[in-house]
Amino acid sequence: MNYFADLALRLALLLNLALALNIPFRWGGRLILSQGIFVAMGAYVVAISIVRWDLHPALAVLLAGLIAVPSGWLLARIAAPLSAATFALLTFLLALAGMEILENWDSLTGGRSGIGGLHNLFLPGLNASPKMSVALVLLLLGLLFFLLARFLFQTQFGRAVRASRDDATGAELDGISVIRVERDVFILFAVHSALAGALWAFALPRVIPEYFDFAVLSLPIVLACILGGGEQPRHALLGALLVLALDEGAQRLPTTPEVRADVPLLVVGIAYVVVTLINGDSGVLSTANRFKARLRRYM
Amino acid sequence: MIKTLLESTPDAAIFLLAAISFGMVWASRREGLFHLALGGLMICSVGLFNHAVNAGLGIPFSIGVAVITGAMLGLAVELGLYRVFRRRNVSGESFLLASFGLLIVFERVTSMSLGTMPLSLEIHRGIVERINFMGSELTAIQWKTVSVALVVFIVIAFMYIGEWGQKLNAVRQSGFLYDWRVGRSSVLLAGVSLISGAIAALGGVLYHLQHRIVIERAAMAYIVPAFVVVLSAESVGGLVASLVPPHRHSAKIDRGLRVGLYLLMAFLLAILTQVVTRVLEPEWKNVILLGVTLLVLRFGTVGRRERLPAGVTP
Repeated sequence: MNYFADLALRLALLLNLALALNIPFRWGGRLILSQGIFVAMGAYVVAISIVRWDLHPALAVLLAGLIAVPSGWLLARIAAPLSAATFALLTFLLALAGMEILENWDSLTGGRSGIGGLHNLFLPGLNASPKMSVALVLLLLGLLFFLLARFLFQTQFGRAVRASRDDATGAELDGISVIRVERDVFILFAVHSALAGALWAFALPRVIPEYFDFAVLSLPIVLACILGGGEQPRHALLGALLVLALDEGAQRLPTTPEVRADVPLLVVGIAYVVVTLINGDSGVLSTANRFKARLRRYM
Repeated sequence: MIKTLLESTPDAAIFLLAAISFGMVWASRREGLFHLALGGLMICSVGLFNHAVNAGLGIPFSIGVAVITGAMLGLAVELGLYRVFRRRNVSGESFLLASFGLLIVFERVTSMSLGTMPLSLEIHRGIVERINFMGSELTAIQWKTVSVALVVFIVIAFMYIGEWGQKLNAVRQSGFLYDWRVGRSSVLLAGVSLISGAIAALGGVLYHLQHRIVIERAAMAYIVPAFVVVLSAESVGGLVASLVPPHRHSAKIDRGLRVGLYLLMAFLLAILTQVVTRVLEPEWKNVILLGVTLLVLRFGTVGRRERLPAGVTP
């Protein structure tokens, strides 16, 4: 039972984070490698406000979402003049620097030992374990953002984001403010990531920096978006499921105990190379469609 | 003051070696190529160096093994990955993602082969003997690192100023035109990757000989200052070149200036990290690097969009 609760929690988190990254990355063409820091922001805000300030959990989660708004705005300001690859690299540096802050700013974050003592989350009327309860709430959050993304995809905003990615000059000539569109996209990304982190914190024994490490959290999410391939929110969900399957498979590989911890990350690394080599960043669905088209030609 | 300057030189030497190797591959693409896999092949070379030392090959021979490994891996990355990407004309992000993947693969494979991290290198204590010079206490291996870095820098600077640098610049501007008018760009790029891998491996081994410990994220720790130095040097180089009157402008001086700035920026960055680490107790290296990068990207011209959107100040 504990295994299924763990699996549900990981799936719910992955789905949320892949959905959050899908909008700036696949719609807007802006790769962000520091998502873990936004998740950490949410988790730490919740931990600090509940444990140190004795705030109500619902208010703490709300506060985490609110604090993410200026950080998303700031990220958009930084991204505005930069090319996509340079911005991606900068976010990588941001991820590393963010981890350093989490580990070294003892008075705020509790350093490497982090912050503990969060209450368990129980859903009223449901006989679910605390982890399963968090997973269910995260799935609900994911569903809300999924519906929002599906709605936004067809609206003028969704088209403006994609137009800004494909041809920023053309989009501006058409009256779209690329800067404003990017700002909104980054704020949406930051808020969703922080809310997911805030809820996830309730399932953690302690909120420690290790959970938000670049390689552990951000890299698999980017992989999910690459594997999913397309712009639609369902592609992000497919990518998240594939990454989870990949991770589960990697953990079941027959290895010695000494190297067991390295294998999942090694598999992620290989997947990055293989997927980009085979198909650029067009994803699994696109490869499957191409394969189907070729098959039809021969049949 | 002089003591701080002198004690920053070993770090500056490592930053310089990493920046030279990163900068070469970076300069092979017009928009820049973020060859993060360089950190991975460096750590692989260090892994092999460790095995060679343990097998009793001796330090000079083991360094040779590591350098050859780095060069071969660099070449393999170019032929197996980047050449395919160049042919397909993929985006800079795809290069970055694949390079990241390789960085992780190399890092994990090395971690698996070396066992538990952090790993202490079994090197005899003679090389860490302290030599007192003008109030600073640097070890023998640190002085050797500085000398090697200077030699490599001088050789590479002459290469950049000469015909090789001109060719590399031409490929950067247009590989297609280079193939048409000069020769095969693929051969030049293969050579660049080979040299870059060898220098990265050399820098990595010297760094690990100084510290005698291989940490979990050594590959990332090695490559991050490299791209900060390269971005800063390119930005400052661009600004300085823009101040030169057009009739005095020379491509040769321009190339020389940029590679010279690698040395200056590596040194400044090393001093900055040294000073901040002394003032603030814990390690804030990446925060400093982020601050420098933000500053450079804000005021420089490198890494910018081709056309800035309305509302963004140039």
